Amino acid sequence: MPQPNTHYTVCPHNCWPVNCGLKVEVEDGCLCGLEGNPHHDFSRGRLCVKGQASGEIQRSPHRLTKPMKRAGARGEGLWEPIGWDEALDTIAARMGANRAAGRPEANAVYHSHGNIVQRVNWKILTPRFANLVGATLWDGNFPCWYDVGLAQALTGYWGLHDPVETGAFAAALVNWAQDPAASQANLVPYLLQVRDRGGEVVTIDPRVTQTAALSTWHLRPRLGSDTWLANGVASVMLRQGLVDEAAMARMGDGFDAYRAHVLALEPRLAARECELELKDLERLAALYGQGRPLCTNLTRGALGKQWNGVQMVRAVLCLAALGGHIGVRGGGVVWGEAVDWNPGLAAQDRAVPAVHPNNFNAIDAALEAGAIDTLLVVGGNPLTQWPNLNRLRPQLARVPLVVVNDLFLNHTAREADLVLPATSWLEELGLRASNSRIYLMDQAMAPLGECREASWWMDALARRLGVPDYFPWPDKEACLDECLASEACAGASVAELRRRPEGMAAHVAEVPYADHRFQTATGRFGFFSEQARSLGLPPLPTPEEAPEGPRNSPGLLARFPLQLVSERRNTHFHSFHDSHRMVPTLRSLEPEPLLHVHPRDGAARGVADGDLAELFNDRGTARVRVEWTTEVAPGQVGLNDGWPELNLLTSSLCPVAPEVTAVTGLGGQPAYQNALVQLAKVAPKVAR
Amino acid sequence: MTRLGFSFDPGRCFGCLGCVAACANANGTPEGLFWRRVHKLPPEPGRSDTVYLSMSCNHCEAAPCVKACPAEALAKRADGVVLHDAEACLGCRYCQMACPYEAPQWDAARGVISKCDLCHDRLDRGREPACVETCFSGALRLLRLEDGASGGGLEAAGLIHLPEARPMLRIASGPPEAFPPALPMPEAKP
Repeated sequence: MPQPNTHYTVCPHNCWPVNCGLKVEVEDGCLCGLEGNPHHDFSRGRLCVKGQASGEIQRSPHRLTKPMKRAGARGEGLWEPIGWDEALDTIAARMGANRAAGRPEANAVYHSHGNIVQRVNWKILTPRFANLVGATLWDGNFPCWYDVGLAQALTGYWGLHDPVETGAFAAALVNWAQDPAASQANLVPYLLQVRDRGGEVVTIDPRVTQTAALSTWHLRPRLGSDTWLANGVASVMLRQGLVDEAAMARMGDGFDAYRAHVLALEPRLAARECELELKDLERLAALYGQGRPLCTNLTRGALGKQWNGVQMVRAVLCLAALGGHIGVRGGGVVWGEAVDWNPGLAAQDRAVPAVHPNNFNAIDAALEAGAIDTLLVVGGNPLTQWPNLNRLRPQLARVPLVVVNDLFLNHTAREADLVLPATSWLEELGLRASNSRIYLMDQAMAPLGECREASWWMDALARRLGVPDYFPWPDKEACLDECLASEACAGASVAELRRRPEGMAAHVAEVPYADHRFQTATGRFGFFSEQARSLGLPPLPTPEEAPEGPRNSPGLLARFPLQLVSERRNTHFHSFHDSHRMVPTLRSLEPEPLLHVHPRDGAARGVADGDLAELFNDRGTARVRVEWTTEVAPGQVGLNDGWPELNLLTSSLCPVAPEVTAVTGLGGQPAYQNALVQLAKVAPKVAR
Repeated sequence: MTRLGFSFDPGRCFGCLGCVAACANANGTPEGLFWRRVHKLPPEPGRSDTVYLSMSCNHCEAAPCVKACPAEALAKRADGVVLHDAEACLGCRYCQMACPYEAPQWDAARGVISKCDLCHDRLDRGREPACVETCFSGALRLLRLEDGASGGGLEAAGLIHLPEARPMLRIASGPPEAFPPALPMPEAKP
């Protein structure tokens, strides 16, 4: 009897900073078993609901297996299978014409989680393609964390420390606007390790989150008041003498200016702005000032989706510094990957000038002006994940050629001109890293049908555009071996990694920033940021109310009195797999968009628990199923990210100007969390 | 003899549904049919946070489903596992009416009942049930009660609807031994 072949890889969902390990069994070319890899040093054989269901992606009868072009109007759903040659010739003709006309920036590549889950695609192979053939590159991380990144860059502190160290050494953990239990369940063991050792685990979130259920203290500030909160706590710490001021002055730039800035804020006023008690701020100050390592989990995401996000993150980074939690074991602010690949291969020196920077203001303007001619969407889905979809849809319709490369049709692919069938993660050889380790994503099966991996068709397209050396390697293994030629990956190779299902240790700093050398012009921590000032941003962390919110838009508030909050739930990885509808287990656990509504707000509108309801504002109307819950505060409603219904209602406003992104490469997150909406019962159909 | 069941710590569960999908993945249940489910309970007095409860068959010591089955399709193993024989099942669904925990599930396509078997084939191979093995928080654990031990604590949690069934579900609190479990790193493969 033939024995199944065992292969080790990682989960195909793009969790940050660690993907769980997978062990798969293949027999006669079919996936016959998938479970957690017990050797994986971080996940140790466990998988979350998405990982457990990931075999269903591979086995789905709905995979795209051939390139297709539309055979009717866009969005009509009529497709004609074509060969790769015809598909690539079509794309090459337009891209080549744009280059010949001296406007390479009209060729745009947007690559997102479906592509960047393969780390060499994210860091090397896709940027290399865009840079060598001449195309604007938009990275799907911009909706996720680019404003957080801008705050980190201005402060000179990226964190990127290890959750394992937090579990082992942190005396306290503060989940600041983060819900890892709902988005990255594999972090929970390390969170609970802090709690099991008697440490305080705090969640700061207006909502009752899944992480709050595991926390020893849940603080619920007013939505959008985080800069007030962090500055207020800093003010308490300075007033109470909990800060080693001499050490701060040695470590950072402009500490005196920052000190004066936060001391000018009366803690009582800060508490009032946050709709908290003064004693809450004092308790948080005591925690930050207790002199034992405290980890702040600000790991990507949520704060950057606020209008005031850059300032919120700056304020929290400064607060963590004030408590002495930067560069100490068990401290730190942002969990992340610290492993670098071979940096020379991305051909960054040949990048197209940033005419349309990776900033949503710029993307929106370019699409609105018809400045994009050819858009290649690689493992992304703008028509669910970008904001204000009723604005975006006609903008995309004006792009003469839209190409989507994915596993399944999705909301964007259905309105594209061409679709290119992608290989699954089990059908390609790849690499992945955690904070400090490297893992092989081994190829377990042959590609389905005519599916090809991105670097294959990028090479074929590059050759048509006169670039013969995009993929100069004899095979993918040789390519990955050269990608591993970096300081961090010294000693690693595909062959060596294949022998080690537990991964290999990378050469990274044991405790990041222990030397207090920061990535600013002066090498010092940016309490006061000269760069921010030169870019027209507040140099010190400063609160600002969102233009669309309860305080700044009384006219809108009268019509749309509810604040829409986007949530994460375990059953979704953003809009992967056509908003998870291609994965039977996930779609049966969350069959439709579920809106969390406070019973008070539901009752006031005659919308009962379980009702179908309409959620709307001037940008659109979404049909949602209502769940009454006190998990959301009165006046707020929560909808899961990943369903297009959410972004029918969000605003395309984003606080950071394209000029800032053109200089820093960061910023440009839309203010997803600042949207006002109204809720109404769906009127029953009247029988004629 | 050791009797088997589950123990559960509501202070560690965070409702991720990993156990639900692990069960479906390991046991190949049809789409939408789940042997294990996670319930959301309202917050405890004085708190605002949701309480999660993961539950499947509790493999009751005096299992009402076994008593209710007219076809002897349900039986209790010596180690306490309540097993269902789909070949013998009449599809009368009496067990569903008898069970206070909604453990027996109706497989409409086959016209028979389908339920948790505590992954007895995995247990026989020295592994834990799939739901237990995947639990990130250690909330869900395999219960092994020795002769005479009653465990207890379930009544206090207000989770028993039918005490005389004597469900093999115990409420645990506090971290499991060695958490997160540290597996020895394997030697590199030659």
